[in-house]
Amino acid sequence: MKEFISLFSREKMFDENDILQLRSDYYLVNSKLRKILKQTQHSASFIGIYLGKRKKSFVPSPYLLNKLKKSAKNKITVSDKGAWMFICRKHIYARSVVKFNQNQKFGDFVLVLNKNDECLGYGKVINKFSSKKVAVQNIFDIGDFVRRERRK
Amino acid sequence: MEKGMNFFLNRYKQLGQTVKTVALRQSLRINTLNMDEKELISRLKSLGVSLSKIDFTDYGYYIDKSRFSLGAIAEYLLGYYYLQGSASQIPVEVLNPKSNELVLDCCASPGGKTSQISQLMNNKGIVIALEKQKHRLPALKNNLERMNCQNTIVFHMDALKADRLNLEFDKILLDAPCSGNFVTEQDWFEKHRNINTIKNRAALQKDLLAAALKALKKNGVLVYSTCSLEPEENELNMQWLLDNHKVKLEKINTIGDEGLTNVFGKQLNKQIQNCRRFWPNKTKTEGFFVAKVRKL
Repeated sequence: MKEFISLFSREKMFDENDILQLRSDYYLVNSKLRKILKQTQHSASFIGIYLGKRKKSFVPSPYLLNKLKKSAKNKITVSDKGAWMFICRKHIYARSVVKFNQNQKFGDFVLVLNKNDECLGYGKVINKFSSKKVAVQNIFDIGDFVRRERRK
Repeated sequence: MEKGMNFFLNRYKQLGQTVKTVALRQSLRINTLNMDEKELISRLKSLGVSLSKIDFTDYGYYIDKSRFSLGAIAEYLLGYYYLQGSASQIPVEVLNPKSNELVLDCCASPGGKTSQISQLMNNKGIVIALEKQKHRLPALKNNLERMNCQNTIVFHMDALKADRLNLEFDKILLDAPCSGNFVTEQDWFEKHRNINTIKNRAALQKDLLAAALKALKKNGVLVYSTCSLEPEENELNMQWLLDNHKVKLEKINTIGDEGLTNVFGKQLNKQIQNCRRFWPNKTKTEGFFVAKVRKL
C-alpha cells in the first residue's frame, strides 16, 4: 500500500498504527473501533474504512484514491463522455482529457477525475494527450462496485 | 395443504383487508454522509431524473422519471444514494440511532439498513453488523464501502449467537428473515409457501428475538421488522415476546395501520396496537411490519 501511495503523493497519509490488515484487506481503524473489536474476541470481516486489497499488485479503494486526490499532482480531468466510458472500464482517449499536468509522461500513473472533481479511478499514461489515440489505460475505476457483485 | 393465492388472500380478508397487488414506486435514500440533499436532487435533475420526497421518511425520494437505470451511474457508484424501498427505510428511523451509541444490526446484508444507521449516526458511535451467510458478505461490505460507512464492524456470525460478542447494545435492529410478501415477489404465492413454512419462519424469528434481547442493555430499544404480512411472523411473535420477556411495545408514529389485536379470533395484548402494519393496498408500499420494543 505504501508503494502505491508513493506513486501519487509524498505526504504521509495515515498513521501506520491506525492501519489494520484483515487477510489481504487493509483498513483504517480508529481507537474506538479497535477497542470494541478487541472486546469481542472475534475476527471481523470488515472494519472502519476500507483502504484496499493486496493482490498481485495493490488494488486501492475509492476512498484511498479520493484521499490521494488532494495532494496528488498526477491527475487528469475528463469530459462527461470520457467519464462515463471510464467507469464502464474503458480506456481514455486523448480527446476526452480536458485538463492535465504538462509534466505527465509515458508510464505515469494518474488519478482520473470528472468535471465535478470527483475521483473515478486511476490509470496509466500510454500516449500523448495531443494524440488521437487512447491516452490513459484504465487500471481501476469505481464501476468495480457493480462488477464485483456480478463476479460473485 | 393450506397454501396458494386463495388461501392467503382469504386469511387477509379474515384480518379485515381485501388485499390487491399495487405497482410499487421505485425509491432511493439520499446518503447525506457523502452528498448534500439539494445538490444531488439538482444534479440528478440535470440528468433528466425527477425525484419527489417520500413524506413519511427523512431522506427518501420516489424516482418519478428516469430514462436509465439508477443502479450504475457515477452518482450511484460514488455512494450518493442507496436504492431502497420506501417502507424499508422506516425501521432505522424508528430505531433512531444516536452518534454516541453502540448499535447492532442482526441480519445485515445487503447493508441498506446498516448504511442508513451509519448515516443517522453521522459516522460516529459504533455499528456492529452481523451476517450469517458467507455468500451475502461481499454485498454487505461492498455497500458499506460505497456508502462511506466508517463506524461499522462486520462479523460473519449468526445473530442467534449475538451474546457471544461480549457487548451490551444501546439499540438493536432485527430486520428478521421472513417469508416476504406478494407485492415485492411476483411469484410469491407459487413459491412453495404454505402455513408450515410461515410457522417455521416465525419459530426462527422468536429465537432471533430472544437472542437479540439477551444482547440488549436494560432500557435499550430493539426494533423488529419484517416484510411479511403474515400475523404469525408479526403480531403473534410480539404476543410471544410480551408473554415471555420483560419488555413493552412503544408507540410508533408513522404511516400504516395499528398492529392487529384480534388475529383469527385470538385476542392479543393491547400494546400490539403500538406496532405498525403496512397493508400494500393502503400504504402503496411493500408489505411491512415494524415494532419498537423496550427492554424493561
